Amino acid sequence: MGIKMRNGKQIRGAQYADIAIALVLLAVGVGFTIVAYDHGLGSVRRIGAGAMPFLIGCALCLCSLICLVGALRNRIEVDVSPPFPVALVLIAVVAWALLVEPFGLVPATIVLMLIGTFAYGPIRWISTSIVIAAMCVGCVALFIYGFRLPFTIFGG
Amino acid sequence: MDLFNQILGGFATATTPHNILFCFIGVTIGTFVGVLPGLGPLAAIALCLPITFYLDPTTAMIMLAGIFYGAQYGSSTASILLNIPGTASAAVTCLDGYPLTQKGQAGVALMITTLTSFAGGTMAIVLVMGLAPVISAFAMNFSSAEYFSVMLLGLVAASTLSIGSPIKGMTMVVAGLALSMIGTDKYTGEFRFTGGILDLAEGVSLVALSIGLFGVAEILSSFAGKGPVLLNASSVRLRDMLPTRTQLKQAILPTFRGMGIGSVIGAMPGAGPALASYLAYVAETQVSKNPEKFGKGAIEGIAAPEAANNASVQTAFIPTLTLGVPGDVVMAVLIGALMIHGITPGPDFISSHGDIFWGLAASFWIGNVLLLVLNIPLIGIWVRMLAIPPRILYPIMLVFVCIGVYSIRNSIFDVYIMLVFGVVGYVLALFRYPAPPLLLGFVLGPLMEQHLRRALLLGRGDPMTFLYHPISAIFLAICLVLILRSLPLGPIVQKLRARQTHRVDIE
Repeated sequence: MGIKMRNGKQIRGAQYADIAIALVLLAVGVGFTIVAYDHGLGSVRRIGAGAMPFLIGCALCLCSLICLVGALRNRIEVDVSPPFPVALVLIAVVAWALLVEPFGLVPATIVLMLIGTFAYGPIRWISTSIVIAAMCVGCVALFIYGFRLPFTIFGG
Repeated sequence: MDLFNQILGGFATATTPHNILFCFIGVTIGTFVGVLPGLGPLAAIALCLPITFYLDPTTAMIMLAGIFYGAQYGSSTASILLNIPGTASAAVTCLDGYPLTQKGQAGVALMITTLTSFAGGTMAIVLVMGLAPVISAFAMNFSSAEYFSVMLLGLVAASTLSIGSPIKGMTMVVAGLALSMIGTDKYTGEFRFTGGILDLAEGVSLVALSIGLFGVAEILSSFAGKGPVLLNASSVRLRDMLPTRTQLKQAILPTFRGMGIGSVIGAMPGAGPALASYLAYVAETQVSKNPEKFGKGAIEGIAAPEAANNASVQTAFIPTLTLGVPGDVVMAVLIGALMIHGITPGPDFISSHGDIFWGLAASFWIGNVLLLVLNIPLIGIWVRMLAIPPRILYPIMLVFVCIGVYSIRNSIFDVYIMLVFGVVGYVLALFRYPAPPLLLGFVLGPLMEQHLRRALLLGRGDPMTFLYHPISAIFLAICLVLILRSLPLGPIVQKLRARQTHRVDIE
């Protein structure tokens, strides 16, 4: 039991992740309730901006406590993606977000596709170039000329 | 006569070339994502949301709905051919569909599922057209108290009736409600939970949240899957698809039973197509004279669940459009799409936006016919789709995801929000915290707060007002029963009972 990776390796200490999630939810619930209280509960007749969030916060605390008990009692087995490709996908999206306004849609798309494809293993340059070129042309035609979205093709 | 005219009007709306085109695009995308394992209708609908801003609301709904029911058709294909369900609702179809493939009858299985899907879907549309106006008329008398209670019931039912841990589902609903509170309070103008970030003043973007939770999370978990599947694409030909007369006969009664179960389940808030197909399958094993043949390629085992899930996705529109209470998360996103167009579904939806309702209902029929064409002669294309490698498919999806989220408010911030929820969704999915209830809570949160405030104001500050309204009281009672049933009270009850017997023994 515990956490198992695709190659069957166990991540040390990771079997406590289920407990950690319940604890994080509990912490969020407590924080949410406190902030909600600060917004003012108002009166029953005219409830304040904090009333509904306060109720929700309390419910979140209660639910996460029950989840915590469940997590302490029985462990679950999960199938984790290897961390390196997951990180690459995240980096690819961040790169797109950083590039699209200063450099335009095409460079941002090329960089995203390259990093994203690399996440799935070594890049096969010929097929990847064809796919990327097709995507760039397609996106420019569809989104810039078709839907007239305010992207620039190259440059800010 | 009035109803007849309205239906005719609906068909007039649905059969304009423009609407047929978008219906076709919708069902094609739906079939595509349904066929591809891992990529569900929800991710596809979330991805297409930004495009619908450029369409009029009727066309937008026709297209988005097409994706939803189209995916139910497509999802059976991967289940039957590869034993990998395209969507959760098709998992049951694997049980008897894949054994049929192993017996060399994949074509027949595909034909039967397409026909029963069509039968289930089209007959459920009649229910939608007949029942929705009646329920709407009934719900016209609802005050804020009833609304609040029925929405609460929707949320409780969604978290407790779905497959998986009810308490985790409920936690996610509450987390979704909490997220929906972020942003400007409509009544006081106060910024709530924004942490001083101006981009959050309008709240978390529904599109960024749903694409993150479903699209990005899906891509992140794709690395954990099994290796690529190999398939002989030429193995399914049209002439292999014709079932024998006995096989057709075997399929007829299960189709009707599946349709009945699916229609009822679909109309209930919270119970999605997965539950419908599962229950239909269980029912078939109960009524069958020789239950031992299930799991070994029984025609009944694919006919009933497919009819059920297709019926349920049509009747799911009943509570969504008549009460404004989405039955499942796809419906929640559709409500979100309507709200972006400034339309809030509710009892007056059919009277005030009759054109959208009847146009949409009529488009279901057109969509189902289009799906028949897409799925029978063109089955070979979908089978070949299964061969697209993830290293090509997922980076392309990533680009669409980024452009889609960015384009809504031209906001890079939203892209980062999407990324955060992608990671959150991925981690939650790992530990079986279901993400759909979260989105449901997110969509219903602001509406519930509004009705809570109004109900308390009208009830002169008496919280008992929710119990003084009989319909509201009934909804709340059902909520309580559902919650109590799902709590892990089993061991406690057993202990109490044991103690009682112990006491009796002593006496």
